[in-house]
Amino acid sequence: MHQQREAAQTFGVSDDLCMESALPVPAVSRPCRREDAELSGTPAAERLDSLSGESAADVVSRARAGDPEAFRAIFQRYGKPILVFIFHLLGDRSRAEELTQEAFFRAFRGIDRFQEGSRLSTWLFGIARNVTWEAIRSRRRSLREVVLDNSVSHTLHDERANPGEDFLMAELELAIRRSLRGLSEDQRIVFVLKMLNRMQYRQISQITGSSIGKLKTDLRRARLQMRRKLQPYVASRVSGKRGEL
Amino acid sequence: MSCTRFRKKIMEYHDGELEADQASELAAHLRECATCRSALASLKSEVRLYEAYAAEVEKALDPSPEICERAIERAAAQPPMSLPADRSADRTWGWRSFLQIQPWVRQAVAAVVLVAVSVTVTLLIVNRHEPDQNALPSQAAIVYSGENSLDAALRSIQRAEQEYLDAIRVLSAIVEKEKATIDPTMLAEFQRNLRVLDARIEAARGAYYAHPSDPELAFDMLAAYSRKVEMLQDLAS
Repeated sequence: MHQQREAAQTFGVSDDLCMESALPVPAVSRPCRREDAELSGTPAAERLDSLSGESAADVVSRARAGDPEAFRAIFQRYGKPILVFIFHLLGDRSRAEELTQEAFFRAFRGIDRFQEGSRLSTWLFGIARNVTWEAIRSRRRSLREVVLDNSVSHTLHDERANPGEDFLMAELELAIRRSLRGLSEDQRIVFVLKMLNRMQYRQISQITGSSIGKLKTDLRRARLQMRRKLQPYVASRVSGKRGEL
Repeated sequence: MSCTRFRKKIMEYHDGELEADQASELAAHLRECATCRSALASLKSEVRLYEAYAAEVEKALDPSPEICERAIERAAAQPPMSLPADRSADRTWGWRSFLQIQPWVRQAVAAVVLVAVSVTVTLLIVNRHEPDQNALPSQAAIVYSGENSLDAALRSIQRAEQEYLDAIRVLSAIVEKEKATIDPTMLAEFQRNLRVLDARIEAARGAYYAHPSDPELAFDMLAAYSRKVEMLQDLAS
């Protein structure tokens, strides 16, 4: 109920209404992760660039020498973050998997272009971003742009105790994904990296090449737009109606 | 501090991105301002909501090791993957290396690409059309039915297009390398034909991407690519 109240607050719904109705609030709630406020000179950032106890620089050296185990180590560390990142940008699982492969292919092939002193995660996220935008632009007019993949939600909630809540959660997830796709490219990437990946502005700036000022403006607009799109959904839940997305 | 200034920094404050003195200043403002406290509480719940969503996605997605293996294979097939240290700054090493290999190997590589195209594009997702086996050199047949099939078809078309583009890149590099040895008249005619073909590809691409669910347009686009590959292959050999 506490979470429901917070979600209602987020979207401008009063506490009174919140008490009367089950809001589609995710069951998982993590505390604000200030301690792993990621990257950019923080201990967490160093952990992100550490691969199974070996430094990123050592793994990159081995990769440059053609050691496939080094490539596997890189993928083992970054495969999931990159897949999740691309999924957030696209909302389509199979395409995200295809583009993850493409991103790592380009990274492995171009490992010599990785500059000493750079952060491997920043470099990989930058490649993933480029691959994803290329794919989106090349198929902007294709029908796939309007097809949303529901498979993640469906597979997520099958084994939960409360089917009603599962359904609501799945609906909210779909609403978030749909709303994300309504953001412009610049807004979407900063929203994903900041709100979903919890990166710091400095690293987002390195990945996107945008100034921190622009990132802040884009994020502010993105958050507003997301809020506007999700508000009717949450509000209608509160009043006991199905939300129209 | 004004509320406006606080709001501008609220995200960085929340995420611990501010310098200590700025953070203290904002904390002092917060103690005095109920409106900004409310704004911070709202941001916290917003962040929690999206973090929860992100956690659900993370739980659901697990990259298959095959993704990695395929990426390694592809990178190994297209150097530079492992450059000696003294060549690390030379970005053209991969192409030079490729061009130095025996011609029959190059042709074999190109042939493999074409076979891959043929296999990839041979999509028979039945229902609406009878495939025309002679429509393309690769004997591709793409027929749509239903949304899932359409998705699969579009994916395959994109892969096929990429394969053709890769083949064109490889063959163009060979032609470029060897053009000094080609008869000037023949080269001029080739270049003229190539311009016509490029225009055809451009038009076919435009038509297809405007109507991606039309298999005829997909055939047309891939046929144009295929024609260019053939032309380059002839010249390269």
